[in-house]
Amino acid sequence: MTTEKDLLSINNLSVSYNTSAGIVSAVEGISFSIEEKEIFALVGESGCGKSTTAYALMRLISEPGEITGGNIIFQDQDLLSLNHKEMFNIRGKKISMIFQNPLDSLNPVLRIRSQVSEAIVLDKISKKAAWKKAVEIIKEVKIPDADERANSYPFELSGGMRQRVMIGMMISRKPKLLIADEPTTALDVTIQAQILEIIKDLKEEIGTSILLITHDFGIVAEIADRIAVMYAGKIVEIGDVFQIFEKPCHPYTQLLMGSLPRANKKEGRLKTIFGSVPNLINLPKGCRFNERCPYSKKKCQEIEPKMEEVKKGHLCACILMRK
Amino acid sequence: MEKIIEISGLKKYFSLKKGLLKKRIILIKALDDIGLDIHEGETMGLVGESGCGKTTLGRTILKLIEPTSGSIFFDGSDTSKASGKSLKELRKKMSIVFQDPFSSLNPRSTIRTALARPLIINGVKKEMIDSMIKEVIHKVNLGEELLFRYPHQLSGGQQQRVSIARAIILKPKLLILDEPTSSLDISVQAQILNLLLDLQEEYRLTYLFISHDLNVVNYISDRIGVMYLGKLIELAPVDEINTNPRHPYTLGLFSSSPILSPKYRKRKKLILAGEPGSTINPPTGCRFHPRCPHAEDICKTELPELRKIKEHHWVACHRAEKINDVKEYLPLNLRN
Repeated sequence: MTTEKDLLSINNLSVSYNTSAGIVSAVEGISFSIEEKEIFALVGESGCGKSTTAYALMRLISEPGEITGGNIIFQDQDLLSLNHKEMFNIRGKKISMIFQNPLDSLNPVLRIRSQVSEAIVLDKISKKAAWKKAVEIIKEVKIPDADERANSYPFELSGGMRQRVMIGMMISRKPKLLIADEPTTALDVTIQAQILEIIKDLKEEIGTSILLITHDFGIVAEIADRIAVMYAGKIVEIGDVFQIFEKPCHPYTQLLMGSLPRANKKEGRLKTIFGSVPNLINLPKGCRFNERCPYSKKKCQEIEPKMEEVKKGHLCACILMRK
Repeated sequence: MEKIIEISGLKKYFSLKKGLLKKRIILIKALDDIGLDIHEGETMGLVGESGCGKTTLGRTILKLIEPTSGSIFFDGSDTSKASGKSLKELRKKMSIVFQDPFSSLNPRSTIRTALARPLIINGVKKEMIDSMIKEVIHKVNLGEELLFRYPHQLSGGQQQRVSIARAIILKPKLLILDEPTSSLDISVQAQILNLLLDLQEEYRLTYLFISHDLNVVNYISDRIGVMYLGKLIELAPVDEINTNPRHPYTLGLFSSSPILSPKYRKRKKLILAGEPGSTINPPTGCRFHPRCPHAEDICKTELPELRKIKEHHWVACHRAEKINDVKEYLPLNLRN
């Protein structure tokens, strides 16, 4: 599946958590690739494995979690084969990550300036130059009164400004890939719009690719180029954002699209999905969605569907939708 | 339509004691001169960004917070005069559902106990309790087997159904829904929204739906009120406010809110600069003027009143009639 344009390709990645209740297969055998200068969104409901995928990519899965299979090829290197030191040189420099709650990611007792310059110093420039550059970075993410703000502590900034600082820190070393895990979930609508603009500019101006992890289809519709939809630890559909919104192939994606509140109640009730997400310890046989799927046939309980191309660049894991 | 709630001149100021000796008193004007009517059987959506006072308004209506001044009439009677027995009667008629269902259910009581509580408090006869609980649990599409479970054994969606069941068990007239779907996944959100519509039809409930998610509010509401820093700045029916917003903040909010379809991503958006500021020290004049692309001198000095510019359409903006760029932005009725 790897092509020349690919920056990153994940092949057959599996992650499981060994808990006292049993083995939780949080991510199982997923594959996708991210091209250069692309916003790739990984969407799904809580517990579907989207954050676990991101953590695996950064090699941040910790006990009792374990990467049980697959590889992650980033710029011709398998990230899973690197040692700690090599991985240290990738994190922050080539791949960086922003999280949902920026206050948890910033050190409360350090000024913004010193936190931003902390990353830049790693690139062997003098501390003084780094301090100067920190202010420039703060300006770049469009924080007003950058000089003054650089000397503030995180609690003195609003949520939107904190997220800008995080983005500033993460792009200061011009990474090739930025992982954004629910970057605007904690923010208000008008502030969210400002942050999304910054993320879009990043792609255009620095050429950074973005892996966007979100449950919010609104954000996906606004900025993503391609999407992968996850369900119970598996990717069920990958494709261009327009294809997936207009002609979703997998029954789960179709139902999700129908459950989005797009118009007014006058236009009718929303579609709903029967039942709830299966327990990851005790998954149904065959297709993981079969118990909730309105089209489910007997063979869906027997055969585990593989991702197959339904149209160029549009992959779908459903045996019923196969042409 | 009959008015179920009539609010006028409602103010709620919280005071904060600051300084070394706690002598400096700072006022937070959470609600500043709010006037609003809610009609029987309608869904009134209330939107605005965090700290704009929408939650405070909901709680003040329920008398969970005492207003600083102003009046709230519920079903024709002044709620400020209600106390003791009459307050208890009043509370039977209105109820609330919160954002986080888990923290609004007692982790140590079973679902049955949670549902029985409002009945016991209001002196419902013992022999009635079981049948009322069974009736309500079916109404929210849950099985009776859940009654003897504890909240942590339920999924988020089930917990929210229990919260709704508890809120409607006394057959109230008004339900305040404070971000009831914000902590839920989209497929569960759809189930809850459908449930709310079913219940509204069956019991002729009136909803005050508070949310920051415009797609959800646009779906469920008949009318929408927009709040900004403690003020109600625009109020209109859902189609009108989407196609003809007259307040620049409303336009900014509606046009920057994500549309659930990628074909509209290239639309012209009014992305507001800056941040809402705070109700501790709100800007003079129109509270929105520092962020407003249309602000003039008058906006800096004079606070605009909420005025009627059209049947059912109210707006608090000096320049509401003069702003002509609304048509350049995509309205809701073209979105689908």
